[in-house]
Amino acid sequence: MSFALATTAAFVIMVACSFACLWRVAVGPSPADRAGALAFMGILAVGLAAVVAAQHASGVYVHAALAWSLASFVATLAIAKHIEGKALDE
Amino acid sequence: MSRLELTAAALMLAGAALDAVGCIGMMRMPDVYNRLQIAAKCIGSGTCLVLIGAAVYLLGRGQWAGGLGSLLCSAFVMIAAPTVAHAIARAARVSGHDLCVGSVVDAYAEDAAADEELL
Repeated sequence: MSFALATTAAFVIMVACSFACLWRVAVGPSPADRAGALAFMGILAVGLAAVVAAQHASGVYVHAALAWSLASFVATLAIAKHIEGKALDE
Repeated sequence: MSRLELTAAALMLAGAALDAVGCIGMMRMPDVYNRLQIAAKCIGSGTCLVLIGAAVYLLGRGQWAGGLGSLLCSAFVMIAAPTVAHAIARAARVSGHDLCVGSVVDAYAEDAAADEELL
């Protein structure tokens, strides 16, 4: 088993996981379910970027993953505040 | 496959398997709190393992910026996943989303009742 095959297998498994989370976003039933599934899709996307970085042996994708993780973290906290029924600075 | 590639591939495949367990839980668990707790543990630590695998490979290939960035990202995911799950679970509880049938403890309601008695 070569390194390319192993990383491709990890990539395919994580894409399937992203589709499972996307199914949860579509089905719900509560807004908190959708927000949570979206947040963990963001974390899975970070992992996908790391797998691609290893496949190409390039650090550029890692920096994209870092920016993505920060952005999805802040966005999810904002959505959680909105579900709670508060303004963003309370 | 060299020893470096073997280590990195094993870490990444282990992380992807943990992610798969988390997503099966995400589909099968009965209510939002169960789904959030399994996602926080399995997807958070699985993605951490994938990032550590990428860091091992990139550092072994002499790519310091990518490898250290990957380690930093892994530390951040380790902090961010539980925080996000806690924030959303608290928001769901405050906005009145009920627990599933068969839940044995509701510390949030107990705390609210204790506060009522104190006042």
